[in-house]
Amino acid sequence: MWSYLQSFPGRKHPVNIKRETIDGVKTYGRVSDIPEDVDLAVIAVPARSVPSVIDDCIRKSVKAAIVVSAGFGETGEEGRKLEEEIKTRLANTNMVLLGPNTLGVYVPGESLDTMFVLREKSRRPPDGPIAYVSQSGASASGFMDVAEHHQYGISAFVGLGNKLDVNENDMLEFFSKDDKTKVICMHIESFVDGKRLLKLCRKTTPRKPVVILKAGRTEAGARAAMLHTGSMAKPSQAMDGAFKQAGVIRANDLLELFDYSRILAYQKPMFGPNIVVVTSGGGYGVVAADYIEDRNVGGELKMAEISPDSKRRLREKLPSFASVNNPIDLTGNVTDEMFDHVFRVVNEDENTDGILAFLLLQTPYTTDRLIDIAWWWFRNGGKPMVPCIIGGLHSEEVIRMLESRGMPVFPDIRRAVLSLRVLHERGKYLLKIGKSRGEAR
Amino acid sequence: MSEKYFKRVLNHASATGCKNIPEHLVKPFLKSQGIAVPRFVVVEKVSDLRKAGRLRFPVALKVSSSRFIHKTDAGGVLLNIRSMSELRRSAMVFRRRFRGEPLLVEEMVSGNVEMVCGLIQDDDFGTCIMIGIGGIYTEIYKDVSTRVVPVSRVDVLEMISELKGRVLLEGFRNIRVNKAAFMNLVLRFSAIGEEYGKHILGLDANPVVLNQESATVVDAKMVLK
Repeated sequence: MWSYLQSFPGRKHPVNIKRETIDGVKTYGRVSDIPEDVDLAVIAVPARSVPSVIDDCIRKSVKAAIVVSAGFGETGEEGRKLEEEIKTRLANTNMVLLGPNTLGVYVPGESLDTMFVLREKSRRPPDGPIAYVSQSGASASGFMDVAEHHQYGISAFVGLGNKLDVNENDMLEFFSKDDKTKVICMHIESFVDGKRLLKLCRKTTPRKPVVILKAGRTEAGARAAMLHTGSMAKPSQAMDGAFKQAGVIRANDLLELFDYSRILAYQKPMFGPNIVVVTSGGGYGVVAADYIEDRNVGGELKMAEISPDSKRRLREKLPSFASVNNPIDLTGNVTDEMFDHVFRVVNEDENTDGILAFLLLQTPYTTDRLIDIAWWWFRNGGKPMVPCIIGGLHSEEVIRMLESRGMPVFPDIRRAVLSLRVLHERGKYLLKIGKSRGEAR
Repeated sequence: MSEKYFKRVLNHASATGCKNIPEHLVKPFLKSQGIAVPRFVVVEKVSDLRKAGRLRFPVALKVSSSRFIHKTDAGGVLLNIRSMSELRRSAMVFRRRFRGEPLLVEEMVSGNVEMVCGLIQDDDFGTCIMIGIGGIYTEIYKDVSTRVVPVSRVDVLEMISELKGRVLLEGFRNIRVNKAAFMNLVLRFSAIGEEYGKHILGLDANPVVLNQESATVVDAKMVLK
């Protein structure tokens, strides 16, 4: 952890009672021995020693502490007592405390990394627009490794741990005002104050999307959460409705949390349900059409009726055996130019609200230029487009290339359709609260 | 106006120590909130039966007591009573069976769709409102939608659109019902939740009977906190 803190440009002091130096840097026996003001203390000592370290931090007027140590409320009665001790100490001070039992924070823009998980095993995602708040440490380190793999940028990660002081609502309030953060995603097992959460969400969602994974939504899940974090929350019957009222996008698992926050960060909201599928593989188009209209497991969207004028324009440059109905099937003879033409036409089609684009790299006449074409339309097309690339090694390389440019790609039809659904949910919400399409971008 | 009726509810609870509110106190409260209920007469002593003469037969007879929340299971509901003499006979049976508990005589309401509307307390979000397909199907299909109170008209439309049985409100085959009346009822329940939510643990109107003219709460249960 000390070595990871080295990338942080501010001054750092190790505090340790057993060693004179750490990595050649002189240590202090106590926080209060440090000869200058301290903004942040990262505390990683055994749980029973934490209260006395907190005392020392308070004496030193430390502004904030992150308690990485575990062994508190999550372990039982004794741990809960320790938490109470810390709470009493914090009561009359200005110090804020994150944790205990937390991974800490990771803020790429400030090069601040207090996480104790090894970088070789859990890489860190780049700087970007998504704030990620999690009550679960282990899933967060896995999730961030995935995020790095997909070049998905985060403005900050905050591990909440046992939420003794700082909780999800505080972080929501903070990221709501943070200009760098465009999307807030949270993985929560229990709400400290559901009413305040909704109030904050209602304030935030007109400007930036909030995606929440609330684990423990069934009796079994709630029991598991109780064993995991000691939360006593019963599953809420009203959560879905409450989230809809507050414009919160709900995720059911980490993959959804990841997909939804990513597409919302990098793509615009969709203001109608009508989707055009562009494909060079007819089979994908059929599966996609099912998912697009399926109310239960799919997108609850509509396959668009492409206008006669657009169909005429499509025919001008497509071979006779290609289909200009929806799905638009360009067949195995597809070329880069055909894709370019189709993207132009559907972006201008009055009956189309969004585009699902299968970029199949196995066809013989397409080249690497297709990547640039897709990227250009993704960025400049005017209508939300969700790209889907299915394939092995070669496809994976292309996906990585596109994602490092800020274009999320889905390796799976259903995930792509559900992401379109979320863009539509976002668009519907913005229209419902009276935002015009122009200001809702 | 409705303050008075809710006070009676509170008084009953504090006098009896029982949180289950008998229906003859719930219905007047709902009515005072602008919610349609069947015309009714409360029978607390035998002579009250005379008042039932002003109702339109057929009527329903129900026991109205904190002790019998599941009236039907306890044999405390009799439907389609066609005449005054039949009512008198049945009322005597009920007086014996339920040891002088108050009885509620209500006009029968006909309709072709049964909905449910209720208030619940959620651990996380407080007072919430739920609607769904009513009658015996509520528990079978669990086709319900929930929101935090207060709800807007747009929220109510969205709630209805979430129900699998929404077609019942939108004109399915020959079924014609007054959807707007049901929406207004939901908004009034929301208003009750907003104003009295701090006292109410649960309020359940099931069935709410819909026909072409109205949406009427036929059966209502209320439990205080």
